[in-house]
Amino acid sequence: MIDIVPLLLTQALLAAVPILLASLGEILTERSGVVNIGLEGIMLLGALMGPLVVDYLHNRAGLHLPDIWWPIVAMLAAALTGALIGLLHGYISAYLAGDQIISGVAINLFAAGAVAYGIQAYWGVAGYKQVPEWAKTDPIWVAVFAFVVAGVMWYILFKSRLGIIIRACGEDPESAFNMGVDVNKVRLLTTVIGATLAALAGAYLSIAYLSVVTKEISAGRGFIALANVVFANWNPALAVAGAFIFGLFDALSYWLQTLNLARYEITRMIPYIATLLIVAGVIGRAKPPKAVGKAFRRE
Amino acid sequence: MRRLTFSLLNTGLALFLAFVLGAIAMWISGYDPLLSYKSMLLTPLSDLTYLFSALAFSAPILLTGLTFAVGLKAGLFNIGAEGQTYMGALGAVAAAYLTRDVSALPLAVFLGVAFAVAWSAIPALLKIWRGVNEVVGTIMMNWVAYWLVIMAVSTIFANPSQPEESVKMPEAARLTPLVAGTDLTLAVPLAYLTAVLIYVFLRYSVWGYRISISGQNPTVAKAYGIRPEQAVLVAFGIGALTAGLAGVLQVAARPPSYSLARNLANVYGLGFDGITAAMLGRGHPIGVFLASVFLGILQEGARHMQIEAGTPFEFIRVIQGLLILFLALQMVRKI
Amino acid sequence: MKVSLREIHKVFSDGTHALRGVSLDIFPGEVLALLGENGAGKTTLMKILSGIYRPTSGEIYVDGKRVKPKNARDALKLGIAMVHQHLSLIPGLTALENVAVLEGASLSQVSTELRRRVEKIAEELGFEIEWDRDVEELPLGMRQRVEIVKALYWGAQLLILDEPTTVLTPHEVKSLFQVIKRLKEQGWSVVYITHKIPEVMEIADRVVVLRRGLKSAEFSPPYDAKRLVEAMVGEVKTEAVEKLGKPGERPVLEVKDLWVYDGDRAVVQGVDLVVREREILAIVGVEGNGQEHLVETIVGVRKRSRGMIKIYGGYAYIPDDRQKKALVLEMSLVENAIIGKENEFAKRGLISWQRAERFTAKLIEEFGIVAPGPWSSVRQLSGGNQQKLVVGRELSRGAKLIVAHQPTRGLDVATTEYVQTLLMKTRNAGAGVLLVTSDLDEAYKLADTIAVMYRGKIVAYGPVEEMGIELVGKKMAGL
Repeated sequence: MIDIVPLLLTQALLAAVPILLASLGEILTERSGVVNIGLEGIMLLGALMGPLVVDYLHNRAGLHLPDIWWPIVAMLAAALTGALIGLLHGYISAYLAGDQIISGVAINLFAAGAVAYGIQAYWGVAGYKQVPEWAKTDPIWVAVFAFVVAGVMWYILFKSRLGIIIRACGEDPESAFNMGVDVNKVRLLTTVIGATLAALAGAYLSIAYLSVVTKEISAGRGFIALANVVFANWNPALAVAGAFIFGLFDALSYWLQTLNLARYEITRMIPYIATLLIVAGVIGRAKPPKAVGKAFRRE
Repeated sequence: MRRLTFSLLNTGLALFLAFVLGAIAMWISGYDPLLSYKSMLLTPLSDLTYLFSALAFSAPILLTGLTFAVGLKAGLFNIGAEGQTYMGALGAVAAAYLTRDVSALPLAVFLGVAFAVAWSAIPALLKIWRGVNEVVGTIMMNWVAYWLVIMAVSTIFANPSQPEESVKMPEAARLTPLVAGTDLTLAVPLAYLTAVLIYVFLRYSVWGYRISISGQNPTVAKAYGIRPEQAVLVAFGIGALTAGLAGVLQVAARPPSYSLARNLANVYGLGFDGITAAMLGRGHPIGVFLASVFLGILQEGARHMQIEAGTPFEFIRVIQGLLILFLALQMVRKI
Repeated sequence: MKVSLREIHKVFSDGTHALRGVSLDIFPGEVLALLGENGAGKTTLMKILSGIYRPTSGEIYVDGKRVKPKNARDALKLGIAMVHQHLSLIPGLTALENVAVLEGASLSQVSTELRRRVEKIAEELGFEIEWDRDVEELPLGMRQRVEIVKALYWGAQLLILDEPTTVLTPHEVKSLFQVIKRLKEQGWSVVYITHKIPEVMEIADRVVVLRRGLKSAEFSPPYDAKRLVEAMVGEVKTEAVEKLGKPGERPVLEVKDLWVYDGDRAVVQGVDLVVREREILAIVGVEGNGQEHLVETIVGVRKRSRGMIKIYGGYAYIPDDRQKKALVLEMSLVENAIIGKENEFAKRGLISWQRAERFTAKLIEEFGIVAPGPWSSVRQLSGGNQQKLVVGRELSRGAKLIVAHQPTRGLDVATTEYVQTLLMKTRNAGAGVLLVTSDLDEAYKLADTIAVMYRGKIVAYGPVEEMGIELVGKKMAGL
């Protein structure tokens, strides 16, 4: 019984990585006043585009690279995809003062369709594709990367002068503008970075963690990341702890499956129920940025 | 009137752009855009059977679209129609399991709607009591419903003779096609009638009015005796009614299987189609109706497109996503 | 530094012509008071000077050079800083971070040099400031001092103070005046925006009066209070509002030992009060002493922690912020007119919009609301007409209790008079009015009874005849 604990913790850590990456990005984005509920869709797109681009370069374009480079290329492809979606969402949210929730919903719907279509159109299979060995990487590298991002993000938000400006945009864009801050530029930038991280989380799923691309690979993790942002009270340091707790439930679900202690379907429900309970438990003390979700326009 | 023309123009523009971008996507991935669009949009209109099939597709989309539209009125992003539709279908299957005569039909409606309402009550109450964002709440409930219903369909409600399905609706309790050989059942007029009722509710009823006020400005509502929490509950409840009904009808009124597929294929994605319909219809019941007919045609057309042009069925979801994206671009917040 | 404004016009996007050609000079080392009532254009003018608004036309010169500040930072670079009435520090940031925002983006930390210099400026002015706390947690007076230090740190030579005393206790007002005098001695210019005559007479070297977007007069000491008032309000026939009859006996509102918490702060602490029929009870006090919480708890928007509230015969509610708390701006007049009485227009749960429209048309006529039509959106109305709609709707409820919170704030003289007359008529007809105001003139003009609120408590309470202005002033200051 005892020897299960290290295994469980490792499992939890690996399950925590995508949630951590996506929530770190979303924390940065929301701290500047933009909410992006399209995380789920961006993850999906990242999970698809990573393997798809390397497959194309390797098999169809005939590009030769040492194997160690392929996962990196996959990550870059996913990051670029995320950045583009972030650019779109950021532009709609900041410069067009569009409805951020609707834009996020649109991203999710578009991604769900595009990924299902992409798998079918590119590989000619219905919704499920194994990632080849040479394109994969050890998940631990991504985990290390995620922790580094958490540290950097914490420093930037709470210690650096840049962080003061980002938070000012999320708390009181009017005053920030009057202090000479280009609010919409800051918001566009943080949205791009946030979406990039979400896409990396997706690529982690397909090329490091699960080794497949499926049309439902994100399985609600984008929304769990949103919940984790609230749990973490918009603090990158707490997001690490939160992601680990969510990961623990994931691991628990996996563990119950392998031991046949409960029906498969029941174990799959655990992360979602846990998310609901955790969010319901902490929300009273959560303090979101005051202007989050609100467009800024000057008189 | 000017506002109507304006929004029609904008919707038309969004449609146009979505189809253009979609064509580019098809062309890049090696399919024939013109042939695809022709079979997607024109084939369904070329034959009454196809057209009725499109209308049959439109019925559940309209119902889940109303869920989202009523939510929007109350200032909510209720994306729980997906899970509530599963629960509605589960209720119908449970009724089929419990009784084997005509009484299964009313029981199906009752159980289906009750399950859906119960399901929506959880995120609604979590929002009211604990301030849990409804987007996160309803999405989590969707996933729980997904696994719960799959489990139920593959265990107690499994069909011993057909492992890929649940027990079937008893024959006496089925809503069979109004025109033999088509998919057009009573579900279609029923869904359209529901849209009319929702329109009357939102436009004329006291509660519809209260929902709008508290959706637009909860502070004002509170100050003058309208409790925003109640408005949230009513909006969630009504949304669950229509979403649950969609699930029930997908089992009780959908030839030829009259059952719930074990992988939920005949209810999967309806909630998200509903969001598209609601946004395309700008949250107005009549608009949602028109949008659902359009999406029904796309659904039907997708089958023909796959056969005639070889373009994957999933392509219509790309179109829908692009469409919403372009609509979102236009929904510039009034300040 | 000499600053000149030339022929400044400002037309807002809603069509309000706030400034109609104002010219003004500000000289170094002077305290210039900008006097005028609410809506006269004082704040708009100074927001243009400090870069927050752009003028529709007109020119600004600093030491003879034409300038066009795009935002507050631009103005600050020119040496102009404004301390706003609703202070504009950024919540969620500490006081120090609020000063540091202007340093611009960088991956490095806030320099220790900045902290040292900021602390030194505060010390020189005799300010005690907690630099590392979230500004939201600081008392309003301290926030104002943070803004002053921030302005000086970034090199302001002209300091604009907008109604600086509304958030201060009398003691704090005194020390603010001392600071202003010190700044002046050291060569800074100060523009002091206010509508309070006594403050002007105490502090100003020169007074410019604005009325309806125009400069109406200019004065130098010695000042004549009566002439200042005349220049400010113009010739208004103050139709005396006649008080008929004595307050009755029967209560319409009883509040006993009411406690309200905001987070863990007790903002209303054991308030007792009674409003009777035919009585106007005015609760006066400096804004931010718990009045808002008290009112909103009585009407049920906030939750009480303990205590009793009893309302007899229904209530009507005129909130302090009509756009946020009384009206749904995107909706039509009709839809707004029936808020809270939608049941009266419904049969079997369905609203008759025809009857609602007739009712609205009646309100429009009776209360002289200027509107394109009953179905146009409320956003299109001017502030005064929006308030008339609110007052009309509320008074037509026929409630026995009227809760009126700053009912005339931001209205022009004529509409103010009108609203006050309506309140008095309602009282004369037998209703009780709970009037919460920070305008002492209004309180004395209308009230039968006056209560003073200070730090969440009622510190004085009595018939208006026994509540002299000196006593009330002392009590408002917590003395």
